[in-house]
Amino acid sequence: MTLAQAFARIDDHLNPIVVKELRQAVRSRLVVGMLMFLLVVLLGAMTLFVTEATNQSGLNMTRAIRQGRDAFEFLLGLFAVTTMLFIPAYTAVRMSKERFQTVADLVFTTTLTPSAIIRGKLMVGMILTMLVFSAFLPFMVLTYFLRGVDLPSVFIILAMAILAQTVTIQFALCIACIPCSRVFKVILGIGAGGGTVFFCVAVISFADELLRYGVGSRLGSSDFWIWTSILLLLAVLAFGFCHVLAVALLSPPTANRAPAVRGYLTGAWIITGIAAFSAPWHSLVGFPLDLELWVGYTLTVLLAMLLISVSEKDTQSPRIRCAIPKSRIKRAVVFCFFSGPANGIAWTFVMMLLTFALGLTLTFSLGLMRKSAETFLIMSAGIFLYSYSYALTGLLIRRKCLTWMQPQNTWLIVILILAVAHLAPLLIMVLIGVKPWPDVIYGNLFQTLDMPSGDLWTHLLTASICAAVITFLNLPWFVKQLYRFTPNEHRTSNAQHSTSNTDY
Amino acid sequence: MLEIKVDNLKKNFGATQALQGVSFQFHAGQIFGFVGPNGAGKTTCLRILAALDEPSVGEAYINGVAVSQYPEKIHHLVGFVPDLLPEHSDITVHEYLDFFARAYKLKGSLRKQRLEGVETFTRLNGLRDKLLKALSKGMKQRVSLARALVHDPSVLLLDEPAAGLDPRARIELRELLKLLAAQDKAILISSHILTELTEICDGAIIIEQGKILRSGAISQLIRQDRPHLCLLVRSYDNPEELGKLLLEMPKVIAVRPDGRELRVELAGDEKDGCDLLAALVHKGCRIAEFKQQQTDLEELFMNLTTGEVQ
Repeated sequence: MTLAQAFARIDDHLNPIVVKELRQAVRSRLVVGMLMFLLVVLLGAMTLFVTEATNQSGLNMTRAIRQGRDAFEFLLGLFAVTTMLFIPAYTAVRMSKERFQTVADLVFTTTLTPSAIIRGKLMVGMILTMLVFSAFLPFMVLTYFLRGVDLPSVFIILAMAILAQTVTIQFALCIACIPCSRVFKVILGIGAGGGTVFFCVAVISFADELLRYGVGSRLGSSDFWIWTSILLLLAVLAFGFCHVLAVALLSPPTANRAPAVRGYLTGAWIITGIAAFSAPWHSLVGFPLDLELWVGYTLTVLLAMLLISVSEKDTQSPRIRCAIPKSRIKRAVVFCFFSGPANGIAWTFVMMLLTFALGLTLTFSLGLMRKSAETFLIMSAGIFLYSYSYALTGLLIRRKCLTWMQPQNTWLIVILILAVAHLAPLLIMVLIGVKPWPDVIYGNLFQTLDMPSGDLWTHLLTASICAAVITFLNLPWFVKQLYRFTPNEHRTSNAQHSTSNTDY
Repeated sequence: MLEIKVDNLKKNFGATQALQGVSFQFHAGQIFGFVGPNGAGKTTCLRILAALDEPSVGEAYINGVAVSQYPEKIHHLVGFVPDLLPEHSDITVHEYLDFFARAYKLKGSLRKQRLEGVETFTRLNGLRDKLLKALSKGMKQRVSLARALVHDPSVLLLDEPAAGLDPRARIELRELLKLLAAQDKAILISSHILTELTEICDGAIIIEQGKILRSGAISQLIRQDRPHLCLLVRSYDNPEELGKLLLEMPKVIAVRPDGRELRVELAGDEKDGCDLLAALVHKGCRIAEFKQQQTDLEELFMNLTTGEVQ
């Protein structure tokens, strides 16, 4: 195979989105302008640093031995801002614009999958990062010749920065894929941008800390490796979640979007569970903090998923029904993973049940700090059952009273009910002058966060009754959904498609 | 032979019923016009056929493949030209088409060959290195058509392709569509420019408020709308006398004066028309003009639709 043939083969296997986006990027005035601006700033800044180093060398030893580190920190800061703010914003804005235009429709008429689109966009972001990095690299190498910076620290910090920016690009793409109005998208973008700024500052501060004390001295400490592993795991999980979610959000509403997300979260639940109770982490944070962190994280994710589930379409599209297995056993297994509100609610409930079962088993088997772990589990159960009740109430109201409303807006009703249920009792108490306020305000899930354990039982009992009543009211609908979970009665002939061979 | 079959298609957007039981079918080599006022449901129907939307009830089949169940297969079969033109920035015509060719998984020499083919067919060779943004509407429409043809689909769905084009671009587009139909492609085209549809379409579907008012071959539709033969007759002499005479003739239903001409409705076919002319000449009438009046799609459309939207 000649070199040209090899290149042609590589070219054939390139993601079309990468090819198109890079062609656009090299013509984009914004990208070219940004690179030129960066080069000018870098050149100017390094000239200043080198001049200062030359002038002060031998005169002020304290400053002289820091010249390299100061220069590297400056370059790292600039690199982080460019790659964690500019490139994700550029990628997200492009993605968002294409989602609004007919471009998305045109792409969806091709054989490109949403997953390939997201992968392509992510790859473009990473290639642009490498382009920026290539501009920074000679200047970063130069800092090594000044004093105060060691190579292992440089490599570890750069690896960390690139990992952080990959997560940021994926997060930005995920936000860009959310189907909403332009105004809401701008608000979301500002919020996400603010969060990214904090993340960027945290990464720079952490890098500064590593540079100040050097990485080499920490490599022998087990704590360093445990924390590094945990941070790495969290970064990989966050990246994976953003990726799966972005693909689901980009997929057509008629597609079976849930299995990938719920499958991923189930996998993440198992991995985080193993990591949370693994010996190194357990020895570092101890029981029950490890349990609390894991249950707290699971609860947060499941509540978000519950809100998403109740906002799914009631009826499953022919495309989804096409994928439902014929075998009853297989159907029972996959039920919780398929798109649909009943499926999502069932998955959330099962996952939470498993979490509590595991939590209780560990609490009783370890026996240490049992009281504290028990209190946390009761509080979490109360929060979950209250949230479950509110979510199902919202679903019931939308189905029975607000039939004109689109199912995807059910989450708004849930938020509204939550707000009314929490504010109304307080307002009434203020208006009729109740003093002092009762210890337990029934239905208030936020109150469970700060309660003596005795009152938590009252909350748990109330939440359980609410959950039982609302489950009973929704039961006919749920049973109907279960019965409807069957494959298409008449699967149309999977006729082989024929494309004509026309000579133009 | 490849067939497109739409079976009792219904689509609801909240309380609005965009499609209310739409059914029709046509096959390869035919151009079908989709005619209806704005908001009639044309675009919704085309989007369902392109597997971009899913029907609330009913199903569409292309070559026996259910569109909503197997969208991935449909994407190979269908080329879709939406009513909005391509607006990508910083990309040339060739790069744009190359992107879609790659998206359809065309590889190596086949991709090059196909790109050259569609660029030549749509006369874009001279424009291949121009930026997409710098093109005129007509050129962009040609790019849009080339994009839809890049994977050589058997079915072509065009949503208002002639909107906003100048007469030259329209004629060019019409010629391209005729060539494509000759290549055995099934073409469904929605348009407001009805005179053009009459010239290129084999059949038409007239839709309003999500319901099909009439569908079939254009000649058949026109015949359905006006069962009698309509003739335009101009006398060299006094038209009033000719009018009186015509009313005495067998099979003549009505005679209406229109300036110096007379519009005659005849219960019969072309042979009866010839007989009528012969009878008039035999009776010594001096006929200056005698012709059959054609009903076009525009007239039919105006007769059938009310212009109301949901």
